[in-house]
Amino acid sequence: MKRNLIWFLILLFLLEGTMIPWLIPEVWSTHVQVAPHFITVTILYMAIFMNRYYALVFGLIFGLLQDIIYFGHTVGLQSFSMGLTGYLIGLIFRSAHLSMFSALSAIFVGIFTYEGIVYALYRLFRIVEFSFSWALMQIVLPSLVINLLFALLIYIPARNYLEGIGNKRQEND
Amino acid sequence: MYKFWGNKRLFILLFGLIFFIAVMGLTLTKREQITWPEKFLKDTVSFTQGLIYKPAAYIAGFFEDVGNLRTIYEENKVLKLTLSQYAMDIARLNELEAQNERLKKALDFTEQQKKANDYVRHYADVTADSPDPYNNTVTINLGKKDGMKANMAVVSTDGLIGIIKRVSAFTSSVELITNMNSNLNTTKAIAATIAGKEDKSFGIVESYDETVDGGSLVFVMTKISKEDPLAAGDVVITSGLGSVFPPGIVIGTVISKQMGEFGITYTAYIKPAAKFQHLREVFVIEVPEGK
Repeated sequence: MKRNLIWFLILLFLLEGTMIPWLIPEVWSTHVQVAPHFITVTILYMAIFMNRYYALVFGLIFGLLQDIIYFGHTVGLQSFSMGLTGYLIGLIFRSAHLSMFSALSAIFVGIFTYEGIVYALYRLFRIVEFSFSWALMQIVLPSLVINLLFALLIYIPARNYLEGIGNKRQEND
Repeated sequence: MYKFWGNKRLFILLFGLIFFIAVMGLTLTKREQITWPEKFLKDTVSFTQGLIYKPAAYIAGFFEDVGNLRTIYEENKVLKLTLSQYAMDIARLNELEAQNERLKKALDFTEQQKKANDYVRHYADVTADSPDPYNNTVTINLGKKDGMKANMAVVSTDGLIGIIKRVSAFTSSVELITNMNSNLNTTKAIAATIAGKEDKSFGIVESYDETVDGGSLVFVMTKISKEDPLAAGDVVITSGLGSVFPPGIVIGTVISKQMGEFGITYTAYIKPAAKFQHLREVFVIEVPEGK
């Protein structure tokens, strides 16, 4: 069961750098920068429907993969941000059953936190110079829309599948 | 106090925080050599991504093409006209090249200087594009096996797009020039000049900024002297004086020019010529040895 999840994340990682940039219309990218964070969305679902430790571990691993494959500035930045976001969201939304609306709100808060941490770290190391308000309008909000659409798209399968794994684990314990 | 240290989770969290900040700080420096696990991982993933990127680009391109059908008809007419112009130009070019060769011989050029302008262009396919908006990197399908080296210039048909940052066996990472930042010691600033005024104009393109022109990002060219004839609308090209980028590659057009920070030199804002999204094929420029 869990092996399928790993394969899904690997497939998503491959698509994130290849197929998805081509699905985003070119007209948008001249005005705003839309960044797909579909792995982060999946990790946030893991944090909500399974538990925060899974989210932390998977966040660290797939963040590190992104750091190494697309090395530009530093290693460890994406790994840290994804792991921490997964853990925090898992910690905050620990209660057992969330409605669809509150689950999507949790994803919203999660993506926003993730973007905030990434921006803060890049600003800390003085890699980006522009203000947060500019990044908010040009990068964070447009990306948020795309990522929430993806979250909505995979909500039902993610819930059924991940809760299935989570419950089985609880029974075993 | 005892309880605080007894709290293992908090301790691990704090340790993790310090560890990651340390790793980020350490890797922020110049790092052209990569370790072998990184190389292996990069080659494997990039190969698989290459299999997906090309069909995706073709499918997306097909829908764009259907939309462009009408404009293509018009374009075809214009292109046919220019083609006849080309034939004339090539004849003239051959003549000028022959003349240039004769004059160089007359001037006693050394072999090394003759070779200096023999740039080799390598065709490369883009296999992946970074999903991180603050880190603009693409992967290309040429690596050490094809003679790639760090710091080679990468251009598209429109102009300069980046520089090879790190090379593994079969693939290399290209850092786009939109990553430029004058604060970072890893950034290679570009020595630039104006097409047609190469001997009179000089400046350094060293960062990418969002301050002017309604929020769209522009390059900032600094250290332009007061006597410089640079004006809005001029085409900015690489000068080749920095010896990283070969001369004559188009960077962009000048939007505006204003007094610099300290009132001694001028600063110009430049609109990029190349586009940095939806890259499909690029050219790597190899500078011959001995320069």
